[in-house]
Amino acid sequence: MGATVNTLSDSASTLYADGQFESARTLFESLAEQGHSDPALYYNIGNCYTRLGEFGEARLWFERSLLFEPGNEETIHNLQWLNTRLTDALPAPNDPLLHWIGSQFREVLAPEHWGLLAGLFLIAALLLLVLRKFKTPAWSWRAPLALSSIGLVLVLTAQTSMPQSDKVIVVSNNSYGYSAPDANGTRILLLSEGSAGRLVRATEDWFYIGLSDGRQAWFSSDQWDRVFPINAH
Amino acid sequence: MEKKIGKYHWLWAFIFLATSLVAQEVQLTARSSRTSVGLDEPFRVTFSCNARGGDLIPPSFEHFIVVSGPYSSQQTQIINGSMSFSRELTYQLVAQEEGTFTIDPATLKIKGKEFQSNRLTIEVKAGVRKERSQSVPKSAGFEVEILSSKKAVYVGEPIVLLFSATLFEQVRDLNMLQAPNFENVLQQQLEFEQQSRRERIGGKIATVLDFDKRLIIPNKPGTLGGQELKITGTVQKPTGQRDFFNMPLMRWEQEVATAKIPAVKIKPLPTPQPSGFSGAVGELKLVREVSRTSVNGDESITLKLRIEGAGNFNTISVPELIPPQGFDLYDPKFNEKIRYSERGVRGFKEFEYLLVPQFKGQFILPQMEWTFFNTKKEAYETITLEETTLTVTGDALVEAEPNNDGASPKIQREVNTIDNDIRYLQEVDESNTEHGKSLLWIWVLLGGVALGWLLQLVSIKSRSASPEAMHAAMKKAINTAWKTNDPEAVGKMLNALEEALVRKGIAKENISLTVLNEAFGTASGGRINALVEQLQLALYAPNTMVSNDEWLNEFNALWEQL
Repeated sequence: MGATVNTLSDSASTLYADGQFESARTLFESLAEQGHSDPALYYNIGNCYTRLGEFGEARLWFERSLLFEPGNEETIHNLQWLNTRLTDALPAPNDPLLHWIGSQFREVLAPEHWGLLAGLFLIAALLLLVLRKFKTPAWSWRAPLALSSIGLVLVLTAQTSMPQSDKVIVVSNNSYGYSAPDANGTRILLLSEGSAGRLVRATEDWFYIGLSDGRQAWFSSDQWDRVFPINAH
Repeated sequence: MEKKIGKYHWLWAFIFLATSLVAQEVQLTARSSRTSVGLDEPFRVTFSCNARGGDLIPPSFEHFIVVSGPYSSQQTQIINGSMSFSRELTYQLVAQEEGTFTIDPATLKIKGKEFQSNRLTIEVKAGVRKERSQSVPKSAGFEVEILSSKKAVYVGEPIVLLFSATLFEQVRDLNMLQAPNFENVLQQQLEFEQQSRRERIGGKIATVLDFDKRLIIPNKPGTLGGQELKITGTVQKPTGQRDFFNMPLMRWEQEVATAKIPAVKIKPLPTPQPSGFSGAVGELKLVREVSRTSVNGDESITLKLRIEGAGNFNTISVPELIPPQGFDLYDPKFNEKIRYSERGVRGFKEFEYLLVPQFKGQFILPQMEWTFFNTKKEAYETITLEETTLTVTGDALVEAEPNNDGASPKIQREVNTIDNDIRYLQEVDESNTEHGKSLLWIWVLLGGVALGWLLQLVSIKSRSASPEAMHAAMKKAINTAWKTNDPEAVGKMLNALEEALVRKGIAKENISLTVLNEAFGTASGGRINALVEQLQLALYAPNTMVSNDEWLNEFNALWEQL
């Protein structure tokens, strides 16, 4: 797997450097489809889409990259660069509190690292408890209790820092918003490429999306893509 | 009485006149001085009405240009006691194109009512159109020609249009009916002194007068010009009659001449454009003037950054200074002086900065580059302003930070980066496949820890219920009571011993040396018996107590055996 990732990634980078952005994008996306989840990979796909002029898709992939690595300066720069060109696009609503807290935790450590830390504390606590039970009952309960408490807090932190997002982005040139999930219904909105919103609920072909200005409408799910989970659409 | 009659007389007269006016029917008519005219041949259209008040609204005169007017006049006549009133509005027009056109009616609005005049039909023929030639003109008093300073220019490069009139008669009030209406250009009328010269044209002496100059700066590529402009002038013409002194009588007539604006090709700037190019076109210079390069701590430096020369100053902006470190930089003062002339737009734009030193040492004013399109060389040109070292001396300021080796004062520089592109690719980490994977194992581990704690709790409960635990707890309680001089300590110790003996199968009433010797052996039995007797004695005769500590030690020693 490792060799394949390296080979494909290097080939894609070479194609990108040669200006063959479409081929580079295909290779990078094939890695993502194989389940390789790396913010750098998402960032590279975003770059390819930017070079291809597909700013909606580019924004989607930069947002995905930032979801996993919120503090990455290069991704932030590219997203800002893109936003200055997506002048007609509607910005995303603010993150819910828990998502925001999670992103703050992710800026410090990745969720798996929080999990690892929690695991270490929990294993130490478990070890002390076993020893106290079967070997030296005279040991105080204070040390295992402290370790268990820290471990529990770290487990909660790790769980909160798991990437989660209900953000959706327009990936087609524009998208009409309807008052009902019906293409023959009344059109109440028109959003341009790169506009973002929050997914309130979804049916097979329709997304009910809340926008940053408080409006809500039904949109065809073909024209939107979810930031997370990846490849869900 | 006579005065009163006089007053009434005028009153009756006024009422009579007013009634006769009101009773008159409102009439609005339109008439034209000619119904068939040539192109560029002025004619008059007059609207007249017999009502005093109201708004007279003229039509839009589509297909015609108003050369002069409106001239208004009004007339009141009283003939044989009958009074009539009329007012007129007169326009002088020329046709814009050949054909037969209708002039819409004028409208009079009076007391909420609307009255309309009749329509006029005017036939416009070619034939009067004049062509400029070297031959003697047939009847035109003047001709106009528009000259362009260049036939092809780059976007941003100025062109001067000169409006020149050739006067065959005495002409006054030369005037442009329509200003040139170009798209995507900056147009500026130039101030200049009108000059005339005498020339022979077609065997006839004429006066050539340059009466208008306009500066045009195109903003987009394409072709400029091609359209026609109409110019009016009042021409002095002989009437064919002579006056008392045998001098020919003259009259002034208004004439219209047509001139075509020459086509000028606007070329786009060559591509690719250099990265630092911001649209400046012309023959320009970027100048950086520093008032001094060496200052005392309490002095300041004035720095001027200026673009000067000839170019499209309307769109040029002075680049921002990359400030040197070690100085406080105040908001710059902006100076500009721009003059529009037939040589183009000339002048300068500058920022004037004040630099106040903060540290002693040497500081570098960074290199600057600025790119413009040189119209003379027809190529992009980059001006580079080299680094300049500024030295700050004086005791009032501290030294700037030295280098790591401490050898020389640090010469600091600041580089402003202008981000105008996305960042390059990042390296994909082949081992990075765990992002966002489930943390189930952590929860399992947490469950294990919870189980460990449950086991601990079960263990505590079971331990507290065991005889050993109770035995140890009893000993601890006796020791605590003894050490705290509990008055019931002796009783508690005796009870504890007796209960322990009961658990061994020896009832309280059966406690004796013999029984104890049988149960615990002679040595221990004797010691237990002695301790019990001493405690019983102490319980009933407290004064006989020997030593608390000895009994406690004896109790602790015997307790383990019990």
